[in-house]
Parts: sequence; structure tokens; C-alpha cells
Amino acid sequence: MEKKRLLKGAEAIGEAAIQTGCTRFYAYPVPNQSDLMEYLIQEENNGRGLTVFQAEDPLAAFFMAYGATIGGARVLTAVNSVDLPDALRAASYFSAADLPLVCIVFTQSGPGSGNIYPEQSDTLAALYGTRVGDGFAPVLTPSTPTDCVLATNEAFRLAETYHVPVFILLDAACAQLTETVDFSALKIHDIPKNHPTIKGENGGQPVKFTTLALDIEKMEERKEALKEKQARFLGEEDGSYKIEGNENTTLVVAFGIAAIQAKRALESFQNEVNPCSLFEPTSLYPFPKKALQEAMSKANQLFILDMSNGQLAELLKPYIPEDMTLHTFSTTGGAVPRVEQIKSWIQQAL
Amino acid sequence: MKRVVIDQNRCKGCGLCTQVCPRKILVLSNKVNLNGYHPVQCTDEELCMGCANCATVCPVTAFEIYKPVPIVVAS
Amino acid sequence: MELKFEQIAGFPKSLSETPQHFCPGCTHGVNTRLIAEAIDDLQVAGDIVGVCGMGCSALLPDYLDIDMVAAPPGQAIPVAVGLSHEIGEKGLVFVYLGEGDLYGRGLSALFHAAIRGESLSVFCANNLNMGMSGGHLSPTSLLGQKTATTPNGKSTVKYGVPVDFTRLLLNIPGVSFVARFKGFTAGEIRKGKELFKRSLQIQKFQKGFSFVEILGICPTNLELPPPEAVKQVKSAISGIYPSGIFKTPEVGITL
Repeated sequence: MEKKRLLKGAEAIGEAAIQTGCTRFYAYPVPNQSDLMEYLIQEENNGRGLTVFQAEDPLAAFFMAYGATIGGARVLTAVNSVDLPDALRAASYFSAADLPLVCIVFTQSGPGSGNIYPEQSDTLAALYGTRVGDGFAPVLTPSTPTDCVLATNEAFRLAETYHVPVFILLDAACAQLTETVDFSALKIHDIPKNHPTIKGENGGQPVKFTTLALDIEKMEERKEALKEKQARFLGEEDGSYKIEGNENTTLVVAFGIAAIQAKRALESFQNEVNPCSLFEPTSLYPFPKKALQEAMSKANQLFILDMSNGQLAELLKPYIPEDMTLHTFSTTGGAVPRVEQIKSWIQQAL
Repeated sequence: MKRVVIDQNRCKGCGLCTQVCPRKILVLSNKVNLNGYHPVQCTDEELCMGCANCATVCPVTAFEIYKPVPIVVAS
Repeated sequence: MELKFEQIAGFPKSLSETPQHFCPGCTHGVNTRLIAEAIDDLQVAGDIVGVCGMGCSALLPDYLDIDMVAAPPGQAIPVAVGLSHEIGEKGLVFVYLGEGDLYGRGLSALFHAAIRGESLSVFCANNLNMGMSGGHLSPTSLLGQKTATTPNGKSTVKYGVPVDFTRLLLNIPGVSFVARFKGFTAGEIRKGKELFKRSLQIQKFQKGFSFVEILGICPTNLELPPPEAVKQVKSAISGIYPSGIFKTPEVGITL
């Protein structure tokens, strides 16, 4: 296995999953997502110890993953934006049964079938949709292929530590973005399996997996346990982020392909305007609010760049001080914000 | 030795066994069990021929049927 | 002549002592016992995992003393498929669910699992209505049958003629065993246990997908005393849902 490899975002996720010991992949092929599936099938044929299975529909893929996880496998699943509701339905069951799952959501333009071009309009759906019945799911948002590798490894760690479904939101542009990933420079952690499984062999008490609890007391108990788990999770995890230029009075917040484009725009500024800082949350739940608030305490101008009708601004609202001058800029419909667009937006505002 | 053992509190008094008993020795009693059902009872165990039809159709597995068989002594 | 008393019927080992929630006369109780007896007879209690669907079958984990997984509505077959991929080599996987769940939301999963010839035993309890939700129309409800959602009887105009889903599976090469029995007549219940055993044995020897449908009664939703429900259902389904072994890999028992 060569240490340096030229990989797309989607492929980087697949490679990271294999190196983290993922043994099964269930999905239904849809554009953008199928790049991941095709890569994994190729690696399955190379004997990398992973089995890929194409399910008859996305929902069935999730529940095959449910069965396989109960059987003891480490499972990866992936969907496209249009099938996000199926992922959320499954997440509710994984939460209820205390089972780990890593699900990659390739975000595209919506609502409806939309088109297959990148958009970040499923952010709030993923964040709040996973809260069905008070369940919860970490949401990670990597951008470059190298980030994708680290995020996938981190997703499996979170899933196995807290027995929760973990969502990775990857916009269609990041999925196609190609980069040389230097695996020798990356630390991929071994993650031991420690989730509940069915024994399937003689001896011991029978194991029951059921999410049904007809008694109010029993359900209350479960909800209490879930509450404790969430509190533990929020106490132990801070949420990852990347920050460029810490001391500037102008702060740009963006994630995914928007962050990559913003970074390129800021680099091209040179001496035209005052230097700007870039804050990129690579985890939306838990949200790195301490780091963001610290960055905002130094700034007086806040630029929020995303690819939806203002979902990132809505998400950041509680953390923005009242005296902050706020500028928002969005591209939608599948258009990636161009460097010149970002440049002129920031220049006009300043 | 009892031939027909009925778990009176498991029985839900559905009456399916009373229909399939060839000797018609099963009837719903007037007693009320812990769950409020009239459990089935056997009127004459000596008549039971051990066909176990009642146990077969019973949805709650309330029956235990014992059949007398001759002890064969090996000579 | 000296006599000893031999137990010929009793409580199967794999059946839990937990009181069951099923209404008086419900065929689910018979099915649960038959599955427990089949597991005991084959001595596979330690190697078998059951998957149950939604509805009245959803509480099966409490009633069987074996490893059980309760699946969401319509997703019992996918859950079982995933389980069977993972533990199928060392253990057995069976699915027990109602017809409203299997032939309604779960129909595509059933047919795809059958087409792929997954190593599964599927037991479907067909009681002609969706029992737990309150006696609503199910895909197998008979024409003219009064249900909570068809108070004037199921009509062809709105819901079409019910199809025998069991026999639809016959043309699929991946399916190796298809059978059906009535879960409310003593004779067929006895044979039904053998069908469950046969189905599990077929799975054990990796012979593919096997399917057993159990016709049942739902006295509560039919609003009839159980013995009367047996009579009426028996005459209503005759000719529409016949019993028998429709497909089998080898010469076997006949019904």
C-alpha cells in the first residue's frame, strides 16, 4: 500500500473506513454516493476485508446495516441528500438500540430531486432531524480529502464510544475534490469494537434488541439513559474546527467547499484589504462554540458564507454578539461560490 | 396421577379447546381467574384419551397432557 | 398391567413464562409455541436469532427465550438479511411477522430477499387484517371483509382483489420452500410445526430462502367468539388461500 495516494473526497472516506477496520458497506447507488461505493467494491476485490452490498432501496440499506451491526460488524453507509429522510429514520432506531453507525451524506441541491450539484442545504435537517425522539447524532463536515480521512476515523471513534449514529456531511464538490493524501503523515487510530451485539452461539442469557417499550417506566428509564449519554457526550467532546489567521478583526465562517473557496479568496487578497481570519467548523454537533466565540471576541466584522438559504447563519445566530456587524453571502442551486465573488463581496463590505 | 393439567391463570377462556376435544370433557368454568377470564376445566379426566388436540390448538400453552402407557419390563 | 404417565404435550423450553398480550383465541400464541417447539426439536436454541416485525409480533422478544431482534415496520427482512450476512455461517436467522407488515411496507424487501435467495426462514402470520393497529385493512383482507378502515366491506373498486402473495413467490428461482397451513385447526397445526422445522433445516443446509405462511384468526377484530371465528374464517378462505407445500427442494412431508 503506497503511503501517498491521489484520492477524491469520496474515495478518501472509503480508504479511511477500510483502514479503520470497517467490514461492511451497505448502500443504494445514487450519483456522488456511488463514487464511494465503486471505490469500496474495487477494494473488496483487492481483498481488503470489506464486503459491499447493494440494497434494493436506501432504507433497506440502513436496516441491513442495523442487522449487520447487531451481528457484530463495523458498518459504513452512505446516502445522497434525497435519501436523507431514510437516514434520519434509521438514525432514530440506531439511537434507540444504542448502536453505532457511520453515515456519509453527500449533499446536493434540493428540495425534491433537485440536481446533483453541491449545496449545503441539508445542514439543519441533519442536525435537527437526528433529534427525533430525543436521539442525537454527531455531525461532521470535512472539506479536503485529507480532512475526510481524519473525519471518517473520528466518526468511527465517536460511534463506538457513544454508540450513536454519526453523520458526515460532504457536499458534492468536496466529494469530487482531488488531492494527494499522505497517509504516512496522518494518524489513523485503531478503534476497538465495543458495541452490544447478538451472541449467536450457545451459553449465557438470550440477548434482546428491541426499541419497543410499552411501559411508561421502562421508556422513562431509556430516555434518562439517553439524556445522560448526551450530557456525557457534550461534556467530553468539544467539536473540531480549523482556523486561519487568529488575530484579525474580520472573521469569515464557512465549511465544506465554501471554506476551501473562502481560503483561496483570502489568500489572493494579499495587501488589497486588511487580512481576514477564516473559521471552519469541521464538526457541527458538537459545535466548537468556545473556539468560535473566542475568534469572534477579537473580530468586529463577521462574514458568513454558505451554500443554502442562510442555514449556517441560522445555526450561528446564538453565538453572535449584538454589536457584531454581520454579512451573509450564499450561493444556491448547485453553484460553488467563485473566488472572485467572495473577494468582491468582502471588498464591498469593508 | 392427573392426565390433564391446566394452568388456570394462563388460560384466557377462548374456548377453542372445547371445540376440538373428541370426548367433550373440556368446558369453561364459572370461576374467574386472576386476569378476569373464565378458565377451561376438565370434567372427567378418566375419559381423556390423550389426543392432545386441546394442547395443540391452545394459543397460550396452558395444557400439559399425560398419557398412561404400559411399563414394558425387559425379560 | 402397570402404567406410567408419559407427558405428550407441555410447555416448550424455548417459550418464555412471560404472560402474552395476545387476545383470547389469537393464532399468534399458537405460532409462538410452534416456533419454540421447532427450535427445541432441532436443538438450535443457542444458534438461532429471531427477527420480528411490527404489530402483534413485535413483542415476540419477550415470549421466546432465544436471541431476538425487533425490527421497525416494514424492515424486518432487511434487518434479518444484515444479520444473516454477519452470523449466517454459524447460526440460523428466522423472521416472524404479520402480513400487514410483510405484504404492505415490506413487500419489496421480501421479494428482493427471495430473488437473491438469502439464507432466511420467513414465517408470516396472515390473519387477514392489521391486528394491533386496530383491525385495519391489510393486503390479504378478503372481499367484503369489514375492517376498521372498510366499515362497509372491502370493495374491488377501491382496493382490488386480494392476491395470494405466498404463491407469487413460487416463480422465483431463489426460493426453495413455500408452504402454508391453518394455525387454527389441530391437524394442520401439528403439520405446521414440521413445516417450521423443515424451513429451518433448509436454511441450515444452505438451500436458500424458505417461506411459511400461517393463516390465523383475529377474533377481537372480527368481533366473533374464537370458535365462531374459526368456523367463519375457515369457510371464507377456502379456495382463496389453500394450505399445502407449494415448493420444496426434496420429497417431503405432505399436507
